[in-house]
Amino acid sequence: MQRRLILLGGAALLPAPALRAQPRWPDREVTILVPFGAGGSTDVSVRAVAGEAEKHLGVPIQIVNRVGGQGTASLTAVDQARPDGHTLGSGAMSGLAIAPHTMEVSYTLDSFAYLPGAARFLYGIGVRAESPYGTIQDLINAAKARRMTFSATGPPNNLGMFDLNRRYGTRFQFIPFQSGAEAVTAVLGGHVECTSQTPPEMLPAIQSGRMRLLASSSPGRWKEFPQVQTLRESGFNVTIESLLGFVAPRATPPERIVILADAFLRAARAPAVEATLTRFGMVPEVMEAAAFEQAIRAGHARFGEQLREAGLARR
Amino acid sequence: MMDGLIQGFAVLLTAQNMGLCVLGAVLGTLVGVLPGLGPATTIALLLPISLKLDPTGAIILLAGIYYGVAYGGTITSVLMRIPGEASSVVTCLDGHAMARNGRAGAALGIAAIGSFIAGTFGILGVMLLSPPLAELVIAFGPWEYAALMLAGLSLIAFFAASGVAKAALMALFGLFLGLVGLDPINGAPRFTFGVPALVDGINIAPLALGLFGLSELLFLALGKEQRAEILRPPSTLLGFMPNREEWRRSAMPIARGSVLGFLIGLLPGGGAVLASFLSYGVEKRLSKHPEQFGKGAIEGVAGPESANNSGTAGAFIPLLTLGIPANAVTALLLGALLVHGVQPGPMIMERQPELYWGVIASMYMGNVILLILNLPFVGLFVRALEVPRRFMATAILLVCVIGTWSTGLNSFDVLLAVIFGFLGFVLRRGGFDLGPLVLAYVLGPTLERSLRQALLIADGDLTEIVNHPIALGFLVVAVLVLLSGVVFRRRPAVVQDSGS
Repeated sequence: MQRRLILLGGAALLPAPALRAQPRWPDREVTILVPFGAGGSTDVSVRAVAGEAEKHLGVPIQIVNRVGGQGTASLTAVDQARPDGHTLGSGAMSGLAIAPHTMEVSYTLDSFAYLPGAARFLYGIGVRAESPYGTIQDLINAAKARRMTFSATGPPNNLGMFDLNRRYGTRFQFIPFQSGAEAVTAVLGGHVECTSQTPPEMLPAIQSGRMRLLASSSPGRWKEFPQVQTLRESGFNVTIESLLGFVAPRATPPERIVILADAFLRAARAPAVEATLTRFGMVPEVMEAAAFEQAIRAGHARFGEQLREAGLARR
Repeated sequence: MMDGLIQGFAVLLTAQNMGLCVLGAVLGTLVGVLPGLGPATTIALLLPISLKLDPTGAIILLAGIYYGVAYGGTITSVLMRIPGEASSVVTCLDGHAMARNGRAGAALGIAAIGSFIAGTFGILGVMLLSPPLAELVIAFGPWEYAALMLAGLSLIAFFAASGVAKAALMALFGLFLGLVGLDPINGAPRFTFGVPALVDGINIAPLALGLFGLSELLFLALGKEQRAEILRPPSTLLGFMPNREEWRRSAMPIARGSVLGFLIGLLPGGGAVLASFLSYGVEKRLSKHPEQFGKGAIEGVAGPESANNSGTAGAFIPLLTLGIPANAVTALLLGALLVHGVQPGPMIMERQPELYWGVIASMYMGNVILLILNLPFVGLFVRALEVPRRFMATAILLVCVIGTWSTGLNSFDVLLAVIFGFLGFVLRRGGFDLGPLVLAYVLGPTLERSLRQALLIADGDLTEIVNHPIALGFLVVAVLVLLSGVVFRRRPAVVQDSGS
């Protein structure tokens, strides 16, 4: 009896907030789902941006690591979340533009409303110190003459090498490894001949003189090695494109998207964010929501083609 | 080196760092006791908080959790036959059997002391042997891993208390369970039946908690197995300790487990689970009374529990000297270092001596703290066995469900644990050993991935293995182990009394 009274009392209070005049949104915390585990480059970058965005939104941002399904579990959760702007997703090419080609996912590119992009992942090609190949030209010439193994985790890390195979007639053979660290170790031990990975795993080996960076496979050079050219600068028209940005469920009210997009855009420009990104081998790439959406859609189309050619797409 | 260590202790002996060391060890023990919630999950949860600390303090805290877990995991294994951690699965076999024989205190005591010895040995190894051992890590490629995994699998011959055929059947089933998930080479989903939760494979938490924990519950519920009368617990601390005979039998297993665990811990993908199983297999093979294994042989606790502890120390070598994480936990530690702008690698000793030596000193201290923490509580834990059966059953159910849920926040995993619970019950009733199943499930994926990588590199040429002497060595070991386990099962008592 008593319990019922309390319930009734609670119900009577409910309409009260609705009577208030147009409160400023957001009025409570926003949650961002991160597709990978805590401490990784995606997680740390998202936290850095979120930490700045909190200041602009005026509410706390909660980070939830929804790991699983190769980065697709968190996007699935965003797709199914209530579209009120309080649940957002973060993601790179892997979940948005690559996974739909390689596995069955319940979402499409149209399942999301796009927010700004914040960062770009860097990639590079390295050989071990004992390797006879001193330049990227040497390596590519050798790979034209014979089959050459390279280690990488998975798309997009391996796609640059597939592009080289297609455009320049090289015979790079992809050897998949579970983690970037294992991929780099395999090169150091001479078990594979080169690697296509990202700075966090390659830098310790390069800085200690065990590995040589032959080229950056990103549009820009690595900050730590400004003398090493990009593939494009070396005359090979190949880049690996991977961006990190934010998405929301499709049906999120547009006026809330505008508020969020503005906050994330300003947050992504903060100097503190750049400092964090640099430590994890990324560079800031602040993109308006529309530009980020366009980049993801373009990536989706291009990756689909590359993956089908490499026999890695879902049949 | 002594200068370094003194500097390390100077770094450690500040109120903040000592506090963090104790906090990490206590948290680690708790996490170890609670099944499901593993070190990786806990460290991931604490990572954002640790960002507020300086890098040395952060690593001291997170490392404390990591090796604290290896202590705590034993407790639930011994008392409830639920593996507190994956690395304590094998302790369920003899640790719990000892508890039933009224020797729970001895099992917990020897595990804590063995862990302390092995942990200290591991740290010494990290301090003295880091550079040469880092080279060993690099020398291991796909062929070497594939052969090592085969050697590990061959140990199943020793688990075969139930007969070779049954053990082999269980191993095949374990291998099959390891296949669920994405194909390691082309990423195609296998045996996922359209269930998204299966894309990442079957987690070890529902598997181990179901097979060991929930199946135990079914035995309790059906009352088919009577719990042995627990002797009135001794009132003094010494009464809980292993007796002279148990000490004598444990000495060599602890020594062997320390070395074995350390070497396996170095290798990426090796890890504490493999180390503990390897140690169990080795001890059973060398024992003068292998028939006691599974029925409460203290060697089956002392060896594996030492191995999983020295393994955690070993994993720091590739992390600190090469920047290569050997497992999920050290990958998180690497992330924590990078967040703080510390780049691990060969230069870390010169560039960040206070961090390097501070962590080493904290590991010595952490092991002492854990020993002090664990021994006095042994008596308390043993009394938990006096809890009436119906309460114990409820506790087991609760612990298993929460443990399974907490690892992935995934209700499918809980369902999976229940399925494995019934499966474990049926299999145990049918006289099947669950050890080979778990071992094959743990090793299978690495075996498959390494072998397929090796064959891709060699362009399908299996004979390429002759160029890999380490791999050949492991293969020879595997064959010898299989022969001695299968062909010469009735082993004459020729092993001399070496005190093992």
